[in-house]
Amino acid sequence: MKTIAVLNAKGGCGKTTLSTHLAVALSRSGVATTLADLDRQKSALRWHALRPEGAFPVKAVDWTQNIGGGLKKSARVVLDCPAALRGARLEDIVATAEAVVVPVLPSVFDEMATARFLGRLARIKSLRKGRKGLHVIANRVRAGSRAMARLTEFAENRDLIFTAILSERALYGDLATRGLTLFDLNTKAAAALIEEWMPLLTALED
Amino acid sequence: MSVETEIKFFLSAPVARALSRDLFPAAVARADHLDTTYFDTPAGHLEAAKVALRLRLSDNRITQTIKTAPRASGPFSRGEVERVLSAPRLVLDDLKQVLSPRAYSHVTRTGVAPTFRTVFDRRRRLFRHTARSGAISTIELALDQGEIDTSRASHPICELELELKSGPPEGLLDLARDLQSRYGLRLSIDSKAARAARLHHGAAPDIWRAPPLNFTAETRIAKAYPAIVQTCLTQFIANHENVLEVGAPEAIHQMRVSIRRLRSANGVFKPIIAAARVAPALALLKDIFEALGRVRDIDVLIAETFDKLAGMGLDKTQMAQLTPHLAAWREAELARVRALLETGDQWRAVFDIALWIETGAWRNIEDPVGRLWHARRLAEFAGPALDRRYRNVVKRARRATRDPLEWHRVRLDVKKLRYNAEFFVNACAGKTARVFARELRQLQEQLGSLNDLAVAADILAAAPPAADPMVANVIPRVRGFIEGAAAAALPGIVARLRKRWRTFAARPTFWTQSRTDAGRRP
Repeated sequence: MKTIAVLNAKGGCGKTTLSTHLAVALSRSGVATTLADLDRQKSALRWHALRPEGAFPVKAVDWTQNIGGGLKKSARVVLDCPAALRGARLEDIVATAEAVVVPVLPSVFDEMATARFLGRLARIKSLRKGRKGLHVIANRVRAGSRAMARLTEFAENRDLIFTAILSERALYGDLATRGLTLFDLNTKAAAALIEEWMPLLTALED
Repeated sequence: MSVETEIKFFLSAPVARALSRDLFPAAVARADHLDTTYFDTPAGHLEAAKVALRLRLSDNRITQTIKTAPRASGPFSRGEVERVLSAPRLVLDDLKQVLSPRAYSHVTRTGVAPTFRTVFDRRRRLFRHTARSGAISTIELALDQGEIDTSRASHPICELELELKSGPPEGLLDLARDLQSRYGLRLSIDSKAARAARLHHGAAPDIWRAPPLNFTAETRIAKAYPAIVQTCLTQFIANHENVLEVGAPEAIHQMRVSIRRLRSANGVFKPIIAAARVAPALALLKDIFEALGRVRDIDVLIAETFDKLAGMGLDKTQMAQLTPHLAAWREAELARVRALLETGDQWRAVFDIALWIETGAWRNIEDPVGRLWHARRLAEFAGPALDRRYRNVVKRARRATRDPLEWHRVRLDVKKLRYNAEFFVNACAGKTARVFARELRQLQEQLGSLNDLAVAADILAAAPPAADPMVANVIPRVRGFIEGAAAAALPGIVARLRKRWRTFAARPTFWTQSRTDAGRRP
């Protein structure tokens, strides 16, 4: 079983969007996947409750109280983690995971917070030594914008390479209100956006 | 050891002349005279290991070359160890790179001696070929004409060899496909050494069984699927000579197995491969499969089912009267197979499939998410690949009554499950997988005993009319006996089948996720 933890101390950077999309994508690709919600806000569970009948089945479990339950026959677990994770709890979660995904928005406040968070992650030996995958994702970007240029500089200054760059689209919000993701759609527009996710999915499955 | 990628065609004299004129003009082709001596131990240890050791004299240069049989990477790849010598003295140490320690020890203990010689003229040239995708490869073309000389006999050599010198193998395959199509060439993976060894022993062309797939728990689908297809292609090409020249029952069977394995792989991996691209090639091979099947059915009747029927009381005189008629029928069906193979269409199918694998086109499925499977471990795909078929088999067997037709359908399902499961056994949990595979095979064999009787009756019903009135009288009598024997044996066979089936269905499948794997706590 492989565990993927979606983390960032900064709230609102897209952790739940990333978690729900990864869960549906992996499930659709043919591996039994569970989405585990560790956030007291329970955004992932609320999204799951909205999923329409007939949508691709994805299992979701509440780990805000009871961590580790409900994983029978799961081949992949995606952890939607709360913001403000630090210290021993952060280390415990990273210890569980084979891969860590950190979304960052193109805003100066998000970049500063993410830089501090990546610094905390760098203190964890398994990540520092490259024994686990660390994937930083540029989220909600507009190509050619000044914000994107600054985010690119942010990455270059830290010798970071974004595993994936995800465009800003109102579609994401619309899909979330219906308990859906891009991977639930079969449209040309969704297909183009899905290609943006493939570098991350491929890296996670490698 | 380096890897040589080479494609060889056998030529008739007229085709050799046409190639010589079209591809080897004096302005670009170089002519050599090659005199080569092959060596082996008196007991033929190198031949048994499918290794060739030779000294070649050409242009005052002495080269020692060791070559191996086709590798897992495909029918056109061989291992090669080569060195230039200052004197015609073998350096046996080089054999360590290709032989097991035990085989090497035999060779050095007993020593090697010349076994046969080849003498031929070679015209060669370099050729830059641009494949349809735009890939550019440099290929050495060599036209060999001369003789293999053993102590027993000599045999003409008339071959075209294409060796990849640089660039992607795709260019080599593409050029080979073009030339085969243009000149009607006959593909072979038979080396000069292997042919000479057969001439020396007066043996028939080789019969090739597929080697076990060396997959582990870490093997990824991106590596496993091409390897499976390559072994199927190698098995198909390698048995071609025997089917064409001799038609031995085992060669017929193994060529059929190669096509069945290829189609089975295509089926089980269908969700994650761009299968549509090779559908025409597979359809063509299916035609050959069905033609081979008619020969195979007669072989099984003569070699196996008749023995069983004799044990059940069938009159041996009647069998003896029937056998020559069946043998003549077999020859007619074999002639149909050979006519199909003489068209050469199968080589286009082989090259199309080889190119599909080599260029990675097999991965280009429309669903990008489905492509994730290519990076995953083969063992992880076992469940999605096998579970549904397994559950269908269990359901059908549970519902089967005494109707032989129902058990025939169970047998077909079990056979498909077995062929599919074979691809995953080595990559999945050791002992459970091996036990499952063994019990599946035994189940299939037991189902086969029921099926063979039914098929025997059908074969006799389809047999051509006999000119000899005695044989014409025997056919319906033997058929009647078979139908009666099958009906009498049916309750006992079904009872044994049910018992074996219960044991099999109670076992865990080897692809079920282990308890220690799921539910790890943070």
